[in-house]
Amino acid sequence: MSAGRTLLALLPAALVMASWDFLPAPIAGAPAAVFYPCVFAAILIGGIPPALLVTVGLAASQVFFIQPQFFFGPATDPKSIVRVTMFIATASFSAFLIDSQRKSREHLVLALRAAEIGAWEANTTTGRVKLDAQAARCFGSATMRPTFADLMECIHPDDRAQLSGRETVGAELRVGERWVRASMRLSPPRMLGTVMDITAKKQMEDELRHAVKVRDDFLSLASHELRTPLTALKLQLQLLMKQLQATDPLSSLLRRSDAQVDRLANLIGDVLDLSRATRGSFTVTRRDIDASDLVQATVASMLEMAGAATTPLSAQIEPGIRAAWDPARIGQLVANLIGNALKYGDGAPVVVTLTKAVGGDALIVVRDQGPGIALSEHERIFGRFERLDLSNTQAGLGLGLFICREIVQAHGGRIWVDSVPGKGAAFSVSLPLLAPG
Amino acid sequence: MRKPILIVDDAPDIRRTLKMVFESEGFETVEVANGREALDALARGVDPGLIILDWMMPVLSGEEFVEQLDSVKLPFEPPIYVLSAAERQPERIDPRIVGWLKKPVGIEEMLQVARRHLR
Repeated sequence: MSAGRTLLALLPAALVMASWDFLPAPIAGAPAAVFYPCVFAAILIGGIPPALLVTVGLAASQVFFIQPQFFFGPATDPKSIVRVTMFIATASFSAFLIDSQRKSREHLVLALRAAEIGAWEANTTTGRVKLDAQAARCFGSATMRPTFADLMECIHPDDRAQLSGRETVGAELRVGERWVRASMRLSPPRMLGTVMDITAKKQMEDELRHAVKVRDDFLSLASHELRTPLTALKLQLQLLMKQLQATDPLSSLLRRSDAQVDRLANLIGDVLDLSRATRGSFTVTRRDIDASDLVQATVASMLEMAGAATTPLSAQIEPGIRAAWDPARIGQLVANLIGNALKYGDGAPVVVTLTKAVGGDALIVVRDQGPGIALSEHERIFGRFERLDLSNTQAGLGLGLFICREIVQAHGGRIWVDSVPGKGAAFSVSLPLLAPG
Repeated sequence: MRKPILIVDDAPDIRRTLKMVFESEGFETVEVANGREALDALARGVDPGLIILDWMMPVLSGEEFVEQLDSVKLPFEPPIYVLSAAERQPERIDPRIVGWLKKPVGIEEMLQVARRHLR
């Protein structure tokens, strides 16, 4: 605050004091009518300090210098002291209020300007609207004082209904070629609103959606194109295996090649699942199935694939559990968890259990006796591209558990791990037997 | 005389290999490259005991082939197995499709299908 401005703030009070003797009697008889405006002028021009100075100065002048019989009364009278105190208190309080109101208004204006938000208000009785420059730009209004009907006219007819009720927050409206986000609150007869231009954001969203679609279409096509030669390759490898004697050393090579083909096919599936999950279109097709049979069959096929004689995999399955699940997805989930348990299980026994839990959910647990997982890792491993083993000695994209979680969530269930390092890990899946709702 | 297996797939390598797989157990095959050729073959009088049908094909897809199957008079409606590279099978499928196999498949799976329907 410059000294000049402070002096300017004191000027009205000084003028009043200098001309006191010449003021008309009604004013001189009611000094408050002049004193308060002086205090307000000081605050508006110079802020709090000059305002306090003027308050105290005016009070003192009345008590000590000028016609003590007026207003406050003689300085010796206790009642005068009370009156002076009241005047100082109300004047200072008003000064602080006006100052804080002005500051918050300035902050608001700055914030609105920085965020490029326009403000508007309407009078519901007269139908007149007041726009600031930014609001006029947003609504494409030629004037800053249109009628409410004019303003509605700017908005796309299909979007107008969004601006109804007592309060609207964040309605996205089309205005000509542009998009705006508008909020408003009605407190009759006044309606206050804000508006911002979100055309650029909308364009970006459209472009993003398009890019995601292009990517998904590409992945879909690529996976189709990759699977076709894999199918021929797999059939040819197996045909060769069939022709060779089982004892032929080449047949073990062929068997391994065949397993590699399966791995490639699974990776292709994982990449597609990832793309679906990130797009939020991971869907399940529920069918009424025998869950016990499904888990049993998955265990059996894992045993067959890994070699039943050498794989320490066993199952304890409660028979006859019926569920409305996507059999392909749940099979994939169980196979994935078993695959992990075998991969990290150090050749120790892996046990799969399926039980009906209290509350009507099914509980699938895959327990291994591998190195276990530290508590700090229990959340991380379900993330995208995360691996159980950070030393990178295990192959894969790090999508397995991420996809497991997507499958479980799409069925309305939960998946978690219980593990203490050095004592193995148990992956548990709790799944509602029926579709929710 | 056993009826042949009609193999409908646009990938020549898959057609040829499937033919070899089926022939390894003495099944006869007729191979065509798309749904249109398959309909033509049926119209010509080919009377398959089983159809192995790719789903995504140029000219006439597997889906369109099944839709247009009624346009051909068949002495016997052969069971259809779809062999698809698509990730998910459609929610509703024609009742004439009795099996949905996902690529890549193994020969044992294919031979089981043939044995089931052509003995």
